[in-house]
Amino acid sequence: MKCTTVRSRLAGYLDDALTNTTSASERVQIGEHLQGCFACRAELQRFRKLAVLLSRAPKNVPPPDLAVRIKVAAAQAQNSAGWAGHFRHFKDRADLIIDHVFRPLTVPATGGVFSAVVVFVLVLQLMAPGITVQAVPNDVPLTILRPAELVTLSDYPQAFSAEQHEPELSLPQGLQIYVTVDDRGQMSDYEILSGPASPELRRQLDQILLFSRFTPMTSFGRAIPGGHVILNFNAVRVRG
Amino acid sequence: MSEWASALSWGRDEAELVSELQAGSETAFDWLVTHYHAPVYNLILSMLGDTSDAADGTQEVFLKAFRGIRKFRHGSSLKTWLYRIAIREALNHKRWFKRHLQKNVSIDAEVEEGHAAIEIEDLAATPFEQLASREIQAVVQQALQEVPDVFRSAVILRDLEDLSYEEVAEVLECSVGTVKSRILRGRRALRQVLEPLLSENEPQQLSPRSAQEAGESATANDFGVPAKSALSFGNARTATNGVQDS
Repeated sequence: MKCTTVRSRLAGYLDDALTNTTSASERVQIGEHLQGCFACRAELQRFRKLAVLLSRAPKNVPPPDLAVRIKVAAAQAQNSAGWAGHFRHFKDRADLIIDHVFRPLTVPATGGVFSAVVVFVLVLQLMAPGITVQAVPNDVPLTILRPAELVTLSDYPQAFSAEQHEPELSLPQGLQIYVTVDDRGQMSDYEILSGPASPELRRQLDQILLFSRFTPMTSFGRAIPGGHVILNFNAVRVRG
Repeated sequence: MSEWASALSWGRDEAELVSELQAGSETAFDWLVTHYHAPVYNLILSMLGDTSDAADGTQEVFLKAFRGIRKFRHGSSLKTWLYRIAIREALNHKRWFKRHLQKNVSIDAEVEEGHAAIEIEDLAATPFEQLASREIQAVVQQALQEVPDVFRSAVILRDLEDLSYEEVAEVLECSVGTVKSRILRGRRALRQVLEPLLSENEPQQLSPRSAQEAGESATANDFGVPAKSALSFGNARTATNGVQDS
């Protein structure tokens, strides 16, 4: 078998990408040729390196708020019929929707209140799924339903030291946690929305969230369970 | 009990999830977004090479999925269905771009915001086994941009996302034979683009013509390529360091 023929098959030689175009006996002939031909072996080696490169290429990590943006945009699209006049020019701009979500808003009877609190390096997002909102900036909020909020995050000294884990743990990309708060202001459940989810991280999160304190969601001033807080971590270090 | 905890159990039964989606359940949709937005984003970014296009494209994919879920055929896979929408979205984006912007679309690698384009020749100075993940990611993404769309999608789905040939065929809506042929051409294109990186530190640089002149009489040396290779494209992911056959 000639080098030119062999070279044309090398891209698929290492796996079975050749099956349609190359018979078993041809594969054997390629193998025999390779044993005796330095140049073709070198070429195969390059394809082998390519395979290693592709298999080792890490996945692209999405921006930490992408999932939330998509969900808000979908909720918005679903309800755009009702708020058509108000939101028409915002429909395709999820980032503008986020801006509105972050201002204090008045509450329809079925709704939750959106507000934003920035705590050092944490950006807290408060959201109750399935709720439509009406943007009335600068108005005095009528808080029939006040959402759960984070009071303090526990001071866990070993938190999120990225060097303790494998280099691929790219926490600088962000970590989003969706926390459910009971009526006593403690975490009753949480879920990692996006970001790494290794067992060590979950253990650290268990500790931090267990000892963190929240204010529960209140209805007419009375604490009720089922409040939610979204925590967005961008920082890596907590000095103990 | 939070909605989220119950939502998590959907991994088991896809048919139930599809029914819930078709009924318009927002919890089901939230689960879909949480679970798939990262791979869809990865797919579109590998196709388009631009992070904000990829973010917008990902959002568009889920909005389209939401609108089109009633047409989903029970029995087919939610993952390949989503990926199919994603690839279509990526290809449409490029066509729109070419048609409406009236510019010469350069075939050079698009540069991600905030990152300098990696010079492949510069990376070739590092021993292959010591390349950092970050460098590999950048150079692979950059090289992919120089492969024609139709071959690029096949290589991404097979060699980066580890889909089976049948799944790739479902996503690209073509035969398995066509998939394999596109993958081969995609890999060849990548091999050309990444030449300096793949050829570094070789004991002897032989051009194809001189190799033929040297003839088949070259003796086997330490390259020792066995007839049955231990490395296959699909399985190479288990390697953490270095070239597998060293």
